[in-house]
Amino acid sequence: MLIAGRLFKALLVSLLLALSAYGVAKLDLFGLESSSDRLADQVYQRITAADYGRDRRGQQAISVVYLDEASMQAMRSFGWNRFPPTYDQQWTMLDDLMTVGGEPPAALYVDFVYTGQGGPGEGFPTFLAGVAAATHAKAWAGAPGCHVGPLVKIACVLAAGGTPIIFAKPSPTDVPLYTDIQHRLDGIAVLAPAVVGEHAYPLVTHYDFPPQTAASLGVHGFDVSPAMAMYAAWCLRRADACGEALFKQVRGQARAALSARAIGAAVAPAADAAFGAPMDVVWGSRPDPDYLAMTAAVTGRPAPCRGEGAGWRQRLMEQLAGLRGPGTGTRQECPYALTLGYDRMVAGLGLRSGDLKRLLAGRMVMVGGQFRASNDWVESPVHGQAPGVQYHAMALDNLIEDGADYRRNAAMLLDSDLLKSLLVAALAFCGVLGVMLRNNLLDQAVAKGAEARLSAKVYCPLYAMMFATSITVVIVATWVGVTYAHRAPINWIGISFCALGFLFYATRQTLPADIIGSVEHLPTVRRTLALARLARRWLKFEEDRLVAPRRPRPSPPTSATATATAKETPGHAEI
Amino acid sequence: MLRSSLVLTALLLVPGLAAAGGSVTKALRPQLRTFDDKGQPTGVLTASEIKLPAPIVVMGVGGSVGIRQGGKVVFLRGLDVQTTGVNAACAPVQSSARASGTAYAATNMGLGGASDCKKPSR
Repeated sequence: MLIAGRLFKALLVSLLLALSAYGVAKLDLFGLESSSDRLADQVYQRITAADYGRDRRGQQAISVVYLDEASMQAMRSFGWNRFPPTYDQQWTMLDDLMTVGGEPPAALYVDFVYTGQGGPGEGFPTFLAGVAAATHAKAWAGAPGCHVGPLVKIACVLAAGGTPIIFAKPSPTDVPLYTDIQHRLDGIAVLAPAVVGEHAYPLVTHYDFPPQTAASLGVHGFDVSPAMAMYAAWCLRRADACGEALFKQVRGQARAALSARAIGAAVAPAADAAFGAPMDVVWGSRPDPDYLAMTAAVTGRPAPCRGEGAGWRQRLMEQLAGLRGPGTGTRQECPYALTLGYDRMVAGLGLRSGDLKRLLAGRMVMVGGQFRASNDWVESPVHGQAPGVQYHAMALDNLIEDGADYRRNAAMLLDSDLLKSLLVAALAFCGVLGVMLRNNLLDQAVAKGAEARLSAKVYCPLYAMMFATSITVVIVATWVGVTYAHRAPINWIGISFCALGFLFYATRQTLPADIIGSVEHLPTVRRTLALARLARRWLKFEEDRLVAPRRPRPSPPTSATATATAKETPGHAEI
Repeated sequence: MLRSSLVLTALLLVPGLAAAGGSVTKALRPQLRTFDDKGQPTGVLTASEIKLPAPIVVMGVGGSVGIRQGGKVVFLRGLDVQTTGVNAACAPVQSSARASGTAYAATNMGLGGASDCKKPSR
């Protein structure tokens, strides 16, 4: 009965603590809680970045070709005298990407938004004709069944023997714009909204537009993000369709649409079941060996990258010591994907045909800008500021590495605050039981006739177990959540601090008493303790008065009043 | 005597001068885009129109390759041809401007390549 009562008390204390933790999390005062969640995720990523993608599956499939200010300057030698380049110049670039590798890429994503508002549309017919030829639009563009959704359209392109080309578009909810140029591109290629959430990468986006509005904005059922579109192309090229029923269904629907068996508007298969949750993009840190080789070839010196030897132990130490933030240090993290400037390709110096083949042939090629003046940059927890196209490439890499088991953004799926609070409750419960156990051990020591204190042999393992267990439980819970539940890491930093803080609070009397009890026989310790007591007494201010009150004139005491005064004054009562 | 010395000197120097700029040894595409020294497109050459190996007479700013064709210099993209012995300067740009927190800033920008340069800048 006594044990049950004690257990109930421990449970109550831990639940009260969890309740207050839950309240603080829900209140999210000044955004501190959500910032703390993000920080925990970022630090986790910085520690484990070197362990991402051990088999380099994604790296072997993805390439990034970029343009930046220096590229534009270099490309002046080839007639690129204005920004943005003319449509036919841009088609020359895309045509190069399609041809110079010896065989076309598996799919091409162009992270430039074409709305026709950036200048004169000179060369647009050339551009359009080139894209249509690359996607074999003639074979599928006339089939209504191929336009029911982006995934079916990609499957139609592939079934027709073309190369899917995905162009970026602004999100229809942010920019309700659908220009004639977009409409014409949409007829022969795929448009994907490139605007991504600040902390979560959406794979599938549904809109609540009425049918008429959806049609006017070029929305076909739903949209997929660039990474999802490229992943669909990658899977649809594989015989097993990555084992995903969705892609098998899409493939079947495309074949039916092309064979004119599906006449009229079919319904796009739902992609939500496997890919509905937004992604918590995991950033890797080990650059592609081909990237290192090509960078050395085109610049004449090794890429200034951080060494591969920086594993999780070294990274953990750096984070514990606060030595390294994202994108800092003498040698920074290099791009994870194989990356090359387009002007370097065109100049060709240092490159061999084999390099271009490795960069382009049969690869998932993503083209984008790295212009410092643009706002298309994202915060990578590992790399610091990273171009948007690298964000898409990393999201695609995550999908190729993990498929439908990609890491979900936890905050979007369940009440992660409740999960954290329950973990805090469990840790607090164990802490309370630990303190009670310590008291039991002390009672046993006293009963055996020894001194009224615990020996170091007893309390050291006890406290070590209490604190180490808390840390271990948090680490294991984080690891299990990430590895098996495929969720972003829980706020392991916040929970650790919360659990350790509670343990220090719960043992605020017993821990110092036990430690002091085993060392107070030493003269130095005794002197130090005496000094500490003096200092503490002197620093105690809670009962001090700013101005000393006038002492009441003492009246001649009688024996009855003296007894009453002694009872009413707490200090006297304790004595 | 003087005349024969001059001829001998010229014979010795001319191949050297030609080799100093390297040469185009192979056309990698059936059709090659051509540009003038200002970077303006001047048309297209078919691969068979170029007499290979073609000495490189001048290098353009962005790595374009200048060869003499039909009595005038035309510039080709390095992407379209295979070259040998190009002595371009290896001078990566912007790598020193790679600020903290901007890891991707022009990581492999530069002019020149390890296989083509005589003296790496560092």
